[in-house]
Amino acid sequence: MLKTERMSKLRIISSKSKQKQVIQKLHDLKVLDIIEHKKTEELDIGDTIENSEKVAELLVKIKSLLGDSDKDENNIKHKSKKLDLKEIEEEITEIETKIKSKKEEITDINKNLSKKKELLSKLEILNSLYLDLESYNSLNSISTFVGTINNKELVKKELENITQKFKLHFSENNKNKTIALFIEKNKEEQVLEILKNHGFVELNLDFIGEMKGLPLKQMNKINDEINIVDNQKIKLDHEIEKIKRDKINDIKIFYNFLNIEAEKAEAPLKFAQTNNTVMITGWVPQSKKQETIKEIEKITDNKIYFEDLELKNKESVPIKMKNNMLVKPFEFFMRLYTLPSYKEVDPSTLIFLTFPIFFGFMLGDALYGVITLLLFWSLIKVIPAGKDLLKSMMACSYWTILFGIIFGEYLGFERLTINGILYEFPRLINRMHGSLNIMGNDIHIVLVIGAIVGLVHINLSLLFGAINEYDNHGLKEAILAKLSWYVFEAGLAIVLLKLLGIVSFSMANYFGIALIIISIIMIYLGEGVQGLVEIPAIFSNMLSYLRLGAVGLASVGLAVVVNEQLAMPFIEKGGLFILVAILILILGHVINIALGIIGPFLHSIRLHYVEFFARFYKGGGKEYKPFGVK
Amino acid sequence: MADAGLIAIGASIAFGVSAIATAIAEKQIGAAAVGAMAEKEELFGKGLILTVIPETIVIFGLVVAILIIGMAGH
Repeated sequence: MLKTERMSKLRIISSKSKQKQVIQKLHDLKVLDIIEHKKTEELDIGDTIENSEKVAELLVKIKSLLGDSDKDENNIKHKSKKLDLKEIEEEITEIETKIKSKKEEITDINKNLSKKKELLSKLEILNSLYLDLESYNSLNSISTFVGTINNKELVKKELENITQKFKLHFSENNKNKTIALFIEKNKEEQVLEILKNHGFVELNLDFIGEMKGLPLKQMNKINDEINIVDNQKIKLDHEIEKIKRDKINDIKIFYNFLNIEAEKAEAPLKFAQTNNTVMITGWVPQSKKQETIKEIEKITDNKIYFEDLELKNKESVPIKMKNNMLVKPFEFFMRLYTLPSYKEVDPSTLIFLTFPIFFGFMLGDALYGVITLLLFWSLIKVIPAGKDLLKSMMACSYWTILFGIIFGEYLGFERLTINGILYEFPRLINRMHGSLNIMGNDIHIVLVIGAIVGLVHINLSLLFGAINEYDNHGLKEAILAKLSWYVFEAGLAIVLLKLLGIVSFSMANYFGIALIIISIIMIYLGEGVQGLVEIPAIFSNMLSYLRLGAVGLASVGLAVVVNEQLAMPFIEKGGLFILVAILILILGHVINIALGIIGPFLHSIRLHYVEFFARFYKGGGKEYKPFGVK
Repeated sequence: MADAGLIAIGASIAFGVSAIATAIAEKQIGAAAVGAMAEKEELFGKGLILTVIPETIVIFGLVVAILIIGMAGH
């Protein structure tokens, strides 16, 4: 429970002909965390399986078909029959050809559309002149110029200098000054000269062709055509979507299948190989080792060789935490910080034991507990990804309810007045006003409890530190580096008790001081200078647990302010003011609950990460990721 | 018995000044932690913890404030 899963380092040596079966089996078993082989002079890395290129190619195609749609394997109806690459390729090609023909149609439509739009823009220029289209038809004796120009007045004046026989139509809108000039043919060259001087840009009239009537009429006709074509395009888009949608189930199945195939095909890149053999090295949980060996032997007719490798001293073994159902959600806190290393105690269980208690002690209000419990419970369905955290928080809520009952606090109320009679809630400890008299000073009882919890927790942390030291460096280190602190504390306790006159043994002072000096030497030998620096730190760490009381007092203080200072005056006024009071109560308590979740959460987790872990936990393990698990 | 107003002021100075000290300390750590997280998202846990380390200052301030008010009862 306190250790992570024990691992074995297993080496599998097989002939190359069996490689595919072995990979398949390992993938199904999902137990071996393969160690990547680094290429050496004697041993090359393996080659990908022959179908890997095909798989990669198909994956690319499928990804483009899937686009942004959800790639999750959820809500897929699986087919019963087995998939093979050829079948997938055929189906994908079929889908792609269908989509391709639709896309070609769309391309044609787009070409057609751009032609029509160009025509439309030309007609728009003519439209402003209000001339029938047939009037632009070329005649023998008359030249026609249509286009845009800079200055109409000047042009007209200059034209009048050459001839009187012309007709000039002009229109101006915000963008262009458009003219249509009909003039006798023999003056054509001179006219062109004049026009050019005034920035004339000619509009080619060939497009008019057989069109007749006002341009507007033609424009309406073309617009109608564009609408029809646009609708066709939308319809085609929908059809493409429909083809994809109809096949989405298949496509997703293929996607997942191909991903697995790709993983298998690329697995040999992590293997070592010679001409005829492959060598696979990896980590497997000790509990699963025999089963794994048997399974692989079965499919390879025993033509395979296993080797059990010894763990080297500083080897980084992948970490698989092993905890029961109740503790499992609390592994989240280890992932958030850092995974334990192989030889360390896995503190998940310790966090499971104390984290919710600390949280509950700080929030400590029965109704807040119920509200947060419902909140976390309902959030599990909304945010499945945060399931572990929310489950741990639900445990915190249970403790909050329990401590709420112990403190007799319900939404910050300690008593209730009904019909003028005061009912005090029953309680074991009065958090707000309960105090202990210590050496003539009244000190809040929750602060005292906090300090005692700190003493116990820090000493517990030293005990686990000793266990870790013993596992890693042996008994001597464990005594010198960690257990020496107990000697220190004992010496200090004796001196203090003597000073307070509780112990009357005359040599107690000397005995205590001697213990302190011995322990300091032990600490120096065990942890070096760093250990000496830690001596004052251990006290401030213990005092840090005062926050257990202080944060709680702040939280209940806020609740009391909301109830008595803000809402009470309105309740006393009665009538409609009751509504205002209810509003204040809701708002105030929502804020206080939000703070009451964040504050105790951070303080509680920090007490574990900073104060508790400092004496035994280093972490730095990397997670166990067996081949075949996503 | 000391003047109640002075006691209240004493308690609020203890709490307020330590809160400001915490804020100043956390400001810099928080900024650095966010910077580190931008580079490497897994550092969230460690960043969070480092950021709340100075929280102890304000907790001590709060404890002292509570003690001052408690002692004033005499």
